[in-house]
Amino acid sequence: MIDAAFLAKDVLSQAEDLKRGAYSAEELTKAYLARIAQVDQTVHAYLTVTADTALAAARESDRRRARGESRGILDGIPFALKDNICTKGIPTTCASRMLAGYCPPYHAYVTERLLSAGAILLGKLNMDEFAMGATTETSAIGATHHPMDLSRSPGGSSGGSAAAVVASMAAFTLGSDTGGSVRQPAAFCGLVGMKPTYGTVSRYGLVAYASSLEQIGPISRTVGDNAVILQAIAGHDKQDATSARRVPERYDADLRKGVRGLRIGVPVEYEAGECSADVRTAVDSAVETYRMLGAEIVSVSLPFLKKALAAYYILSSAEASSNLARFDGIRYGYRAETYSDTEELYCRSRSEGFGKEVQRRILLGTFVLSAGYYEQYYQKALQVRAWVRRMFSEVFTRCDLIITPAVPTTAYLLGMPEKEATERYRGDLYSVPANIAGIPALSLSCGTGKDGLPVGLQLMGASWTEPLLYRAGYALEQMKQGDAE
Amino acid sequence: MKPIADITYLERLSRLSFTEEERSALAKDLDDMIAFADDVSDENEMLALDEPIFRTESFVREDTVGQAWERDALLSSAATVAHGYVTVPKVLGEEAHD
Repeated sequence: MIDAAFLAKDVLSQAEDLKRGAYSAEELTKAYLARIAQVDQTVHAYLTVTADTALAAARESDRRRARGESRGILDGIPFALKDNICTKGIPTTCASRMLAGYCPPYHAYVTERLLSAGAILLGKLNMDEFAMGATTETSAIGATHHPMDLSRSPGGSSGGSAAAVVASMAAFTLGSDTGGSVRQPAAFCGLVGMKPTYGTVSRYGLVAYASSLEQIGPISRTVGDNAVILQAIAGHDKQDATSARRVPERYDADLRKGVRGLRIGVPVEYEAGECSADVRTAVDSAVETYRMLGAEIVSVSLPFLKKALAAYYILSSAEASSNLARFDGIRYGYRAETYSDTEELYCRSRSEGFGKEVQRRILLGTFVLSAGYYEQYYQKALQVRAWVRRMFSEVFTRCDLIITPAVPTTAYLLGMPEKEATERYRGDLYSVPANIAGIPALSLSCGTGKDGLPVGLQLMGASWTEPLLYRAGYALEQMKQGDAE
Repeated sequence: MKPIADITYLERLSRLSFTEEERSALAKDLDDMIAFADDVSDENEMLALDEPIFRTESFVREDTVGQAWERDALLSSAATVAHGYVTVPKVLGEEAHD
């Protein structure tokens, strides 16, 4: 049996171990499955565990390796997927009663890519229902617990994806990020999360929530791992009309170049704005580290933060109300037991199948698109979006990347009385602008709060500058590792 | 204070249905959300929407015969099927019921 310490290794180290025969893919997969059986009853990260197919795939990977036909770094590496990413014949539920037991007849593009690379699918991960939430508490199956403090949330909506990695229940995972749903849980769990430039990763087979904002992104232990995983899933896909027709950059090409000479922007809004003392201390210290490493720290302004957040909730709700109209109880998904006509079938199936937060956002979306309010809200939100994009373009003439906290606090407590719905939204202040503008943003750990929980920072760059974000993230990660050793 | 949004109207548009109790709770939630969303609309110097949100390049898939879904696989997801079709309540005629 493999020692639990191997499960906490990064993907690149595990790939080296597999290459030199320290253990087999089957042994590694068995060890992860044993770990899931041991700890997931308390963490509750997985909704489905695919043990049999995982073991069969691992044996096949070992056979390939024995024949000298390994497919590369990810061959034999166990991973898991957020439950809104389609997996053929394996339940894909979006943590909703609406899709309980639903098995898609096809794989998402990213699923196909990872399986083709030889990675081993361990199962599907908990999330907020239809990715609407920041704690996994809107999941119809119940919340995921933070593996470092069970009274807290690992974040959301990709909370299961972050919890699985930090609790060594998968070597890496994928999440989806509509307004911070990869970066926030990665930050809460001390991991690395990337929201790539819009169009980098195909959304084919990602259950749609807000199509113009979301991207699939990797959650990993290290920056180097994250770059390798993004490489494996990026690229043009003709099945997604918004997939960019360009050859992806080499994401790990510049990792070791350092930050000397880079201009890093620190927003005045962060300096003046609200954020917990722990987060401020850790982020300030990261800024100092960058200065010490030779980066030029420049002051920039992002005056749109508050408006971008409001625009985000209008646009995402509007798109959700349209995207979720497909769940009508007819061709797939939940159907109510009793109804007298089609109208009642729709209404009952949707009211019984969707949870409260999802219904709330559908209503808000319907409202902002309805006659008499469209111009006041939806149209205005689109104008804010254009303004945000233009402001970012200007800011990126003055700096190469922008640093902010990933989230204004450390991980939230679970089971807090339901505050005004809008209060929780403010936690997305720093993450939402990247989705609004379509630019890439990386979150990674930059310290620990007094509560013992990780603090995450965010690096944002202009479109297609993922290699630069990874390069700056790597420099900080190396300094932190040096400090720890 | 009278709620801004007419919940009953929105219910009908979004094919959802609530109890009276849920309606009054939702009316408050929605008003809070609308007040929050109002942050977008108090700006005078807002830009005209004069640039596309996305790259204008778009494409369609080639018109070629390719993968076809298996009928049984698709039907297996539906709540009720008969003779290779999804069944729904009667939608035409006077007796519109199942």
